[in-house]
Amino acid sequence: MLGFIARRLAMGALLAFTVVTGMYFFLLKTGMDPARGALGLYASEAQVETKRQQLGLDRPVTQQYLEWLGHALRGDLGQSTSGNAQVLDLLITRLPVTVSLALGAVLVAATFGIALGLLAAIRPGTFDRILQVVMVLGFSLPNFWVAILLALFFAVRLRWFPATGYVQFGDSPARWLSSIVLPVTALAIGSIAAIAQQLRNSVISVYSQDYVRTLRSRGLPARTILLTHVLRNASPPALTMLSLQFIAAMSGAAIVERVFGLQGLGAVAINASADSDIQVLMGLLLFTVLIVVVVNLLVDILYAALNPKVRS
Amino acid sequence: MIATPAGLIPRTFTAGSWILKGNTVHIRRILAAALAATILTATACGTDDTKTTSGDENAATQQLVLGNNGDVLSWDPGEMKEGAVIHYAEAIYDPLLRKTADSSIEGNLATEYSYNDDLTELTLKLRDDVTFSDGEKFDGAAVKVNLEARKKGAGSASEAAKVITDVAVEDPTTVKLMLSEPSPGLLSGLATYLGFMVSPKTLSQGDIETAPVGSGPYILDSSDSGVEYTFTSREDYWNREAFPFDSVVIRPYEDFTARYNALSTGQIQFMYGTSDMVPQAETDGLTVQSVPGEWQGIILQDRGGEALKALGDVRVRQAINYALDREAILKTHYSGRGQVTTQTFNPASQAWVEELNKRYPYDPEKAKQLLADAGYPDGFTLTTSYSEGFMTPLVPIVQQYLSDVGITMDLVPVNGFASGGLETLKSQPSFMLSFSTNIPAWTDVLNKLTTTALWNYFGYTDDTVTRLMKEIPLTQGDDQTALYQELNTHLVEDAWFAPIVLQDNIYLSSPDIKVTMQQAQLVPSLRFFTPAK
Repeated sequence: MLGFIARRLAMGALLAFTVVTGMYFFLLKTGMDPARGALGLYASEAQVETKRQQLGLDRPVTQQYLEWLGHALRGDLGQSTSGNAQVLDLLITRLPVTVSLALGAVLVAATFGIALGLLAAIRPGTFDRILQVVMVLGFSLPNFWVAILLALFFAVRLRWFPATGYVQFGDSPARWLSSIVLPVTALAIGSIAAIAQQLRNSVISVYSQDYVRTLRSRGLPARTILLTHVLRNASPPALTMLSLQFIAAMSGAAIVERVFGLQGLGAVAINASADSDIQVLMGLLLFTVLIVVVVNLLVDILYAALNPKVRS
Repeated sequence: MIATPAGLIPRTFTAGSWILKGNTVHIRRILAAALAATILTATACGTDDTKTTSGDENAATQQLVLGNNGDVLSWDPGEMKEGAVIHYAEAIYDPLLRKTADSSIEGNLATEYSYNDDLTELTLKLRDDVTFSDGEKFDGAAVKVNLEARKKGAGSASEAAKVITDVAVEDPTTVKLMLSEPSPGLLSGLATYLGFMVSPKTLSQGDIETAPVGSGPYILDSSDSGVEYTFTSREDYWNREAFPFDSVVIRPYEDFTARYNALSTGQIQFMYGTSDMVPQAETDGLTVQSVPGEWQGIILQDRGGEALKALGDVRVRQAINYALDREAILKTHYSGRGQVTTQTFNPASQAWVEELNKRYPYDPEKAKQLLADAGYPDGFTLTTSYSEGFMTPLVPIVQQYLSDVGITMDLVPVNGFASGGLETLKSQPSFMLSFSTNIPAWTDVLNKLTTTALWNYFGYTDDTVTRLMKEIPLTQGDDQTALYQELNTHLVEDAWFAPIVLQDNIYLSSPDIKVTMQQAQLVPSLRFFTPAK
């Protein structure tokens, strides 16, 4: 198992290095101008050129990249070119918002997705077909649209939840929960559908296996067969889907955060893109890639625990 | 029976109801528990813990909560750009002069101001009872270090500061600004970013970008970057009655929908809105106000015909103006919120001439005739760039009108100004954008008419414009007004632009505050906000 984890870690590190390196050159080659982004439309060319030199953008791209990488490996992601914040501080400050949304969305999606998926699998006919339609509908609804509707109905009309803003968990757990319920719901709806659909198909497929017939012929209780044997074997694809939904929730949060006025990593990404703030974009990219690598690693470990064949 | 295709398995379980029944109950329990948890969360959170800053709370504590278009990236007035960021600045800093509701200039930290005869020296008499929040005294020396610092910045102030060659401190309450040339925009600059006074101690320490210290009505009490900034009032502020709120909270929201939801649920009391929000805002009992804001239309900037020969002919540019049915566009596209215009200046500015709006009535036949006279009876292709997003819905409307007279638009969409977008946008023979209108009108002259202006890529000028741009700074009062109007008339007659509509800036506020509208500023200054009661 340790060897398996080590291999996965090495692959994750390689992935992170490849993505980060590729994106650095890509961003600079797309014509992004952090100096102009920092100074705005009305700064003179001379001022922009001075800023360019201050930021070291007049040096070869490879040199800039190696310097950035060297600092990043030491945990220094540099300073925002459009503001004054240290990139690492900025990302750490904003991370709880996005992670709260993404984790919350996955938790909700897993709870409802698994329940609905199992229901659809073991309730054939009309019920299954209705659930299928609901799932397809849920999967096809854009989360920003759902977010707007949720905000209008539950926040503006009913006043059950705040329309905007985020409260730190440490300040008030109840208000924290209140501040993320709507955005989490907006992010989770598509994921619920995806997980439910995946699990339904897997469970139906596993139920058709010979060993299930054998178990049943030996008189095992239906609940034991379902929860201990069928679900265990049907869960890996759903688990993969769950990890993908976490990553999707991280990216989907960019839009949903905006609708609810939340200052998470999504807001950072949008502002940094508009300001051509390469330092922030690169820091954000590194953060995101590492999160993806860690989530995938956890899923792989879980997958290996469920299915020993995977370890080899 | 068991080894059936997967799709038939559920049917098998229907037959084996013992399995179905047992597990259905179990799953139902899970689902019911999850739903119950969600509903409980919703109801629990929605009661006591969903604290918003209601109108009543604000009134009791005299707190003003403003929604802002964006965050403040630097507290250095020299780095700030025009726009709603002025609210952050005005909470902390006092300007030397200030703008009235109609954007004329009056004294503030400088109680008097006067020019010499050739308008190259500006003398300011300063208040002697003002201190910065760190205890430093405000005096002539403070003005000097501030103005010198402002010249080095990259914000809006630097343009106005360019003409200041020296600042002479004649005594603690008198300073004289030496100018390289007369500048009609200087007083306006001193009433905003150029004139915002920072404590000299803060400037010398070099931490102005993150730790603002000014002589203004409030101090920055707490800040959560991008989320919320709280300012509390200074007890010893010299002009307390002009700022009646005990504290001011500014919350940045980049998304209009989020900002509106925050306003309609009492989380903020004021926002800059959009015209499509007005019906809902009125239904929600919010106060809706407006002032003339930005003009939208086409800048026909290749007037010399360098890249597109046709645009070098004034008849072609006039034909474009005649081809646009401004009234219909105002009614359908802008829901009537604004006014049609052929001018690019603010209606409250010296340059405005009401009669000029009748110069180009919708007349497609005349447009065709002008095109034929210019040698384009079959029309021509007009390359036009535009900023995707807010201009996107207007573009096809304009495209249709021009097509009706034979002009084919070759559109160059630009998505954002970063990554070379700005260069692409402004380097085309024509482009469509939304432009602010300013007081003084000189700001618009600098933005669009000088040969080095950002929005005059081809550096075009002519004898009339050159002459008037030399004469306007040398005059004041009625003489200056006459010259501005001559310039405006010339620009309209010569069809330098094809403006369509001067749209309203929309402001939405809760009924528990009163906001006095201010001309030619994106948001009214803080001192124009008062409690309703």
